[in-house]
Amino acid sequence: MNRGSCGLILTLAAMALVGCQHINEISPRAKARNVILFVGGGMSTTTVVASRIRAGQLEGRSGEESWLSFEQFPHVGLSKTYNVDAQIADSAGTMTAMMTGVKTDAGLIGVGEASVRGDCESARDNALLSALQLAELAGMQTGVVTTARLTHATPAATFAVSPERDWESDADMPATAKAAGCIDIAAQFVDFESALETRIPGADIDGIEIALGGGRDKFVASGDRKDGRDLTREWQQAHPEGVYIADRAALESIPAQSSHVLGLFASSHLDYQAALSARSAAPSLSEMTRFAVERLSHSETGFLLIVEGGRIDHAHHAGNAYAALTETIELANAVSIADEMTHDEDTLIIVTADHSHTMTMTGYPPRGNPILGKVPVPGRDVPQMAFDQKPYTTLSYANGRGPYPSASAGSTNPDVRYREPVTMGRVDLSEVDTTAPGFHQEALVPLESETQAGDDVAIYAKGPGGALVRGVLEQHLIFHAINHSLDLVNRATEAVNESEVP
Amino acid sequence: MHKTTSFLCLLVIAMQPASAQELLPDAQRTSTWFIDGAQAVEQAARREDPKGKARNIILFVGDGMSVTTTTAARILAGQQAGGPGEEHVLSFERFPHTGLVKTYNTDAQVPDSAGTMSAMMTGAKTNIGMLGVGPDAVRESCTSQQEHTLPSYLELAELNGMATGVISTARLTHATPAATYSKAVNRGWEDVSDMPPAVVADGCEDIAAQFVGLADRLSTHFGIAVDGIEVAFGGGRRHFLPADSRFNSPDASSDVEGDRTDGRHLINEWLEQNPEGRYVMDRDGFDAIDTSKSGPVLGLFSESHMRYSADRLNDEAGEPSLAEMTRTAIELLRQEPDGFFLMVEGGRIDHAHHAGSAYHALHDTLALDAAVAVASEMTNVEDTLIIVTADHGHVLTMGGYAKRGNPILGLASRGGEPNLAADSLPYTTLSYANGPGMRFFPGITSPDQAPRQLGKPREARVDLSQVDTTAPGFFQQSLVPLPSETHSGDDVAVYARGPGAQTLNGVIEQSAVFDLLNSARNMTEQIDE
Repeated sequence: MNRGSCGLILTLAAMALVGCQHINEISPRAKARNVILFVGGGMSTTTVVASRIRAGQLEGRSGEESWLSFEQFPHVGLSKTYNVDAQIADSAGTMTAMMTGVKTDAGLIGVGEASVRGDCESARDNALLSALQLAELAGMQTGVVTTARLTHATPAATFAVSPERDWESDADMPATAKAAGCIDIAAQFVDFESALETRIPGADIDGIEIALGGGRDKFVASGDRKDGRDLTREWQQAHPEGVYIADRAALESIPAQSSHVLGLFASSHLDYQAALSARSAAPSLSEMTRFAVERLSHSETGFLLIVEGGRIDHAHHAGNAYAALTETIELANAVSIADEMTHDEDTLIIVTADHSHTMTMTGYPPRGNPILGKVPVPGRDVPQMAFDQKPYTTLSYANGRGPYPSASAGSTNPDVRYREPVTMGRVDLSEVDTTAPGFHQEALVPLESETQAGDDVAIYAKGPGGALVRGVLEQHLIFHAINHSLDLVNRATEAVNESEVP
Repeated sequence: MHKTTSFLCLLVIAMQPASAQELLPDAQRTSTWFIDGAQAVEQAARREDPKGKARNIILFVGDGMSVTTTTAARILAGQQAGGPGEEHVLSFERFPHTGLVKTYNTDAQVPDSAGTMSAMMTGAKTNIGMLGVGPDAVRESCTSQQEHTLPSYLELAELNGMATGVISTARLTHATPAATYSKAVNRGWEDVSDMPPAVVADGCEDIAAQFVGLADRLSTHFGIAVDGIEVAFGGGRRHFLPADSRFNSPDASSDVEGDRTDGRHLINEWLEQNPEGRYVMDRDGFDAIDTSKSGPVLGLFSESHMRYSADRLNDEAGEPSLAEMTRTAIELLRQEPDGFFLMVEGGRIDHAHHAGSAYHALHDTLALDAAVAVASEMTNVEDTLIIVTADHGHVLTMGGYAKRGNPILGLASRGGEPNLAADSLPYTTLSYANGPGMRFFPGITSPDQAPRQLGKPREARVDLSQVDTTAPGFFQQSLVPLPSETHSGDDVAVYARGPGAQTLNGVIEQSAVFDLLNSARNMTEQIDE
């Protein structure tokens, strides 16, 4: 052993000893007090560029020169998103990678690649611990915010273990899986505390402090559940000081002393941002983020908050760039709020995507051309025609349902597209307002749903440890960067060891 | 002292709490993903960036090398090596510093190579199609060109007494290499025959002539003796030779190789200017370059662009690879006393995309990867800044749900039979948003051999079940039928290592690539002095 490494170990060990004695304070080894991870579901690099231009154009500028909030972060890396078994990844495998530090198969939540999708037994020995679970074990406060169902793949991967992402309620599970002892994702949310304490002897945790999103039907018998359980009531009983809410107005009147908040603002996913109004039951992503950061900031032990802009992905799947861009801009707003409410010295903010989508941005529109518009003839205000004598839009998809303008024009819900048949081939868009919320872009390969894409996504970071995400990274390194910055595994271990001592 | 430290060290190790990793389940802590990930982050945390300034600076430009192109090329390389592919890492993907680059031109949402390379070379964004002039320059106006001329980083390096080099697989007069040494309000002015007479009368020079006249122009304008570009390799002989078959090279592909209508033989002029200079035009000439000898080297290996990488060995006179040209250039340049600036372009990634050929775009990306690997090995990270980037994106996408290890050029498949679309036809993982669309010419080795477009729309979706989509003669399907696939407007990546690389700051405007170069070795300051 050389003197250099001895000195390093000496320092680390000394710090560890100090840390042991004050487990309820931030470990001196930790570089960050708080971490906020923002995940734009399906927010490809092209989505970010188009959203940046859209944001600038909504402010009356040409757009290309704009910056989304997180684009001004000092550190940028690229994330290799593939799943162990999939060239083009899904959200379950990708978020599990970011949450556990282990790349795994598509469709799996919180379990390693040796698990077989849909096979309950196979999950047992392959369960992993997530950064959120480790943060709870370490005595930190935690939060999960999403515009999707709280039981959907991305938020689920923060707290659940399931060999099938679709097991969101008991009604979604085959009898064999239930018989084998697997529990649906909604029930796992409510059982989070007791399950983790059973799993880790000596653990004493207080549960996820803030959980805001959609998916109420997965929690209640009046929704999807067949086992008669009302998980919202069970949650309330388990958290007598906590508050369960189901609409935006209630979010504004939660007592400051309430220990936990569970908000389920819609039966399924929250409405798309473009459809939100003052009368909406659901808050916006930035409102939820503001609430979560405000509450968690009071934590003496720091916090880990995961925020998902879940509907960027849904808009893309429906082939609707308008909504994908609107959702991305809202995610940028949420990041901006979180950034303003925290300090760069003690809070690591990471913004990334789980995977890409097949949207492209074609040539050659002039500077300032409406990003949702058609490509014009150079120097003129008329659309450029392709060989087939039809105009074309700047944004299009490699696959998906394609346009169905008459039925969906004006709607702020991209999902209405699924009610109409898949379009084959090119459509004449001469008379169509392609910038309308309800317009769905053309697609080359006709598919029931536009697919995810396999290109790298970006990672944007600021704060302590932000420099760790520079370079081209395997996606699961995001966990390790968070772990390094918060010293999560060590703190969790010490906390568990400490409480085991009689 | 030593003893005491060791004793303390042991003592503290003994007092450490139970292993931190014990909390984690076996499936997690013994996972190679987990172990490798933890190690990579530890390495990143310990990384120390080179201090001080760079002696040498190398800028690699993958023309049209979009993020998707890089991902797909990485997978192809991994599959060529016998793995599933996705886990592969290209040479420049190991660089510690990365950023994203906003590529738009001042007048174009989706840019071209002239405006983008000018931004990188001058630090100022400009119009689409313009080289080395500011955005107020007017297209086709020689006087406005003269009024808005901007110095390039290569020119500043020359003025600072550094050695310089330019390498491209495209014509040496094509937009990207041209932006290192020339000024033109129209990138098409590669030789005098490409220019309107009025512009010539106004005193504007074509790009090839500007290459040969660089040293004189800089010396006259700045009053500093400059010796010109030390190493230049590429294609494009036609712009250097008179339009007279007597001056044809032995491997000329046209009856009259040269295009010049002013009778100038620029290669001879260059040799007269550089009595110690060496001109090479084929594989043998390249191999015979004695890198221990000083004196500039000009290599023009093709009448127009050099071959696509995957087609290179079919060349009659023989062409060096991008990696070989890079190696020879560094061997020549590193002997220079004041360091060097070298620009290397993988120019045909872009051309392959325009033709709708992912096969060639990926292979040319791998040729660039090999060239970066050579440069990384031959130089010292402590004194050489290497930047790898692209000028703009392309509309290649990577969709569908192929399983891990599915051939990147193949039909998307979850395993077994290909996935079928709603039209009951299979589809490839890679496709283009626009362009000439699906064509298949078994046996051709280069997109240049593909018969010309007929100008009619072809069926976008045809049955590919009996087509070898991984062959060099396959062209991907495209949504919008256009004669040439277009660039895209998405950000491109920038990868950097060496002194100054750490100044790369997240998402940047493309003009800030100039500042990145300048942070490694400040050219403007030295000139001001």
